[in-house]
Amino acid sequence: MLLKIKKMTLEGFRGINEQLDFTFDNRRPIVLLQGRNGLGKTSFLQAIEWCLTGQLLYFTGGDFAREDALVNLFHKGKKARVEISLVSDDGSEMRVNRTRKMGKTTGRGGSTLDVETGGDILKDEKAESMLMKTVFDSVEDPATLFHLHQDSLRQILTADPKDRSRAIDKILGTFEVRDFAEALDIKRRLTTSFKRLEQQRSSLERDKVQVAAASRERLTKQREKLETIGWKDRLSEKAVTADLKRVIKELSMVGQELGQRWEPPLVAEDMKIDQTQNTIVTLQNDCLKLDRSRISTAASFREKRTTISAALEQYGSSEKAIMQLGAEKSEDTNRKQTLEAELKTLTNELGGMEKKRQSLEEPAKSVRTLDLRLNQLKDTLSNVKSTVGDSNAQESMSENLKNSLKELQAEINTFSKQKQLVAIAIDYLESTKPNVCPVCSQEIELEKVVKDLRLQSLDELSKQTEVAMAKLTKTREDLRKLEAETVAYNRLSSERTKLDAQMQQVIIQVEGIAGQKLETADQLAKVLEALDQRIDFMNRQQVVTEAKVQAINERTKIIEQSRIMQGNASAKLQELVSRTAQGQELLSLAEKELEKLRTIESELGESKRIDLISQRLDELEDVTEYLTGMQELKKLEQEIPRIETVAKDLEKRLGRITHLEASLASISEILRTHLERSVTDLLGSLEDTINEYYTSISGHPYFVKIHLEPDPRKPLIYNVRAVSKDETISTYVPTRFSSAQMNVVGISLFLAHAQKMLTQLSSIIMDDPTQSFDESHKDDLVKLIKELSNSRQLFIATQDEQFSQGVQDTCGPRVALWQFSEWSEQGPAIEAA
Amino acid sequence: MSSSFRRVISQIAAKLPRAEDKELLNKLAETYEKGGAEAVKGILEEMLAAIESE
Repeated sequence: MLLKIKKMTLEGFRGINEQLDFTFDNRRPIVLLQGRNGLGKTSFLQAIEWCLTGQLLYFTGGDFAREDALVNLFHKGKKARVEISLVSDDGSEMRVNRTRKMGKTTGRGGSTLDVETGGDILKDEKAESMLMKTVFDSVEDPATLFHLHQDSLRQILTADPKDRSRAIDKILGTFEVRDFAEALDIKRRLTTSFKRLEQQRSSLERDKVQVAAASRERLTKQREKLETIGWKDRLSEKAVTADLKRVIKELSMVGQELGQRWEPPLVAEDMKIDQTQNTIVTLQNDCLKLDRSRISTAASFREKRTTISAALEQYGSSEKAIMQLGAEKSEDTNRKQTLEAELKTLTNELGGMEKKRQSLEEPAKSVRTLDLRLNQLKDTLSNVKSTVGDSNAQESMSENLKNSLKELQAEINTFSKQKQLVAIAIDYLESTKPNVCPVCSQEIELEKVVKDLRLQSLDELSKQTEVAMAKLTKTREDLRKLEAETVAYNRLSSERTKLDAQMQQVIIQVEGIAGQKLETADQLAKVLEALDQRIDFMNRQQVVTEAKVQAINERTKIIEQSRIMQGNASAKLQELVSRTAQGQELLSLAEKELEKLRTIESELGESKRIDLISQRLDELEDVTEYLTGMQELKKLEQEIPRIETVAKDLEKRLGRITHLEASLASISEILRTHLERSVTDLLGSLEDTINEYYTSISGHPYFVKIHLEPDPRKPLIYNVRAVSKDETISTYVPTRFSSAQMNVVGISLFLAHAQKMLTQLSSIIMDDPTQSFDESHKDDLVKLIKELSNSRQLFIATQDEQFSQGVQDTCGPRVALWQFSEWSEQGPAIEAA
Repeated sequence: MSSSFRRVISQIAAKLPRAEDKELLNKLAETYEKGGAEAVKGILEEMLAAIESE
């Protein structure tokens, strides 16, 4: 008795919102759902699985635990309902109705089930029980038997052996055990925890116990060192306090000596060690301050000593200067008087000389001007004389020129008369026009004669007259020049006479001033030069004498300054020694003060006492450090038992992790062994059927069989091997064959499993079975489907149009085609073709 | 969760010699049934964290 799905109603389930009703014809056992991806085909197939088994396999954990993946998001009632009517070969029917309200997660909430059969309506657990028994013969995990999930098939095709093995487990119904076993595999996490705790434990030992040991060793060395510097049998807080008091007393004394106000810290008998340490630090700082004060005081004493030395030196040097210069003072006074008298004489003499020089200045100038003029006149007279001679020559030349003038005038007159005669002759001839010459009576040619007279006689006469006129003019000019030069000569001569007279007068005047006879004007220059030299000499004499007077004045001034300096130095010394004293007494007091300062400065220059105190404080610091270290060590050693307890606790926790690891390993081992054995047994029982299907869907021509077995070296990994017909050669399918072969393996495995285990339900679901098939494989699968449809009702979802057409062509009237065309919030649009 | 899983867990628990291992297996299996592998990993993490932070 095989049950087939006769009717189906669904709403609000996954991709399906509004209610859809389907009726399946018994004569059309192949229900083909065709359409693109995402239109609701898988939701339709999942609805069958959910309705009949109450769950969707592998819809657990991850995102499925975060929302309800079963109820449609847009359904008004937020409720999923699927009702399936099953009919048996004998015509009896069973109505299965499953509903679910939207929950918070996919796993929670469950569903309500009604099963109606033979007029009885069963609900929930009874209904579930009855359903399992009637439909699945109470076989476990029936979903894997009748539903080939597209995800499982897709995983089989992947190259990852682990994913493929997981997919095989999904098909065989052993996936949950595998998944659970895998979840227990937390070796890496266990190692991390173990390492963390181990680190904590080792850190405890290292940080505390080892530190205590190192500290003890260090303190022992420190104690030995302190004992060598006088602390043997004295290493106690009491001894430190006593020493500290002594140091404070010593420091107070030093402070007083340096004139410093210092408040010593209080030291109580029961002072704690940390307070003692603070006091030591304070005292160390005070030591530093006092040392700085010592350096500062020494510097001030050094400054005072330098000041006294300088004042003494000043006093001494000024006194020496006064004494030296004082002795020469009277001599200087006399000498100064003499020099001043000399200076006066020199000044007077120089005044006379300069006056004389000034008196000579004007006449000398006149002499030079007159001399120059006279020389010029002499040159001019000489030139005139060379041109026109002396007075006699000038007179003779004048006479000659006058005679020439007369002769030339007579000649001109003659030419004039001759010209008048020729003109008269021409007039006569032109008026009488004779043919013969009136003088010689020879025949003449009048015009020619007149012309000749005009051209030759008249013109010739005119030319001669002009020449004579020119000579006359020149002679007149020469005469005029001569007369002018004679006049000039006479004038110059007269002027020279006057200048000579003037010169004579000036020279007499100069001779009077100079007091000597001057033969020539040149001697005057020599007189003047000599006078200038004398003035220059006297000027130098005056400067020298003035300098001498100045030097005497300077010396006097130095004495005065020395006196002032001595006075100042004396006042300074009196101030520095704080005594009113004079002279040697004052100097003696200053020397004593100086010596005293040298002594103090020498004492302050050394810091031995402060250094010793500071050293003592350092020593006390070392002792307190040792005592503190001992206290800490004591505390640390007291802690060690507690540390050991913590370490033991950590050890215990490590043990718990080891224990947990062992438990998980034990559980995992048994789980894996169980799984491998179950799968090996199941595959062994299915192997022949698997190979029948494998051969029918384009099996390999040489490797005709496949063999699945758990990998003996790798837990939870299944090897898929292809074996030759004579079983002599085998190979791993994923390594040598195409993914289509793995697709065939997946379908074969599913069908073999279903064939064996699915004994009461006829319906088989295959979601997208041709994922990596070529045309040949598809043809073979179509043939297998046709054959299967003789005994099974098949629900097949595909988006492969070629495969769909093949099924329709081959299986013809046995096919019910449902076309999924589009999807909206209301659900998929489905048409029966 | 499938009945085969429960059956397998029962079988395996029977094979475990120590009581605490059985207890642990049942606890983990129950967790798996409720929340899958993720929940199992979660509870194991909690157990380890508890041991570490004690």
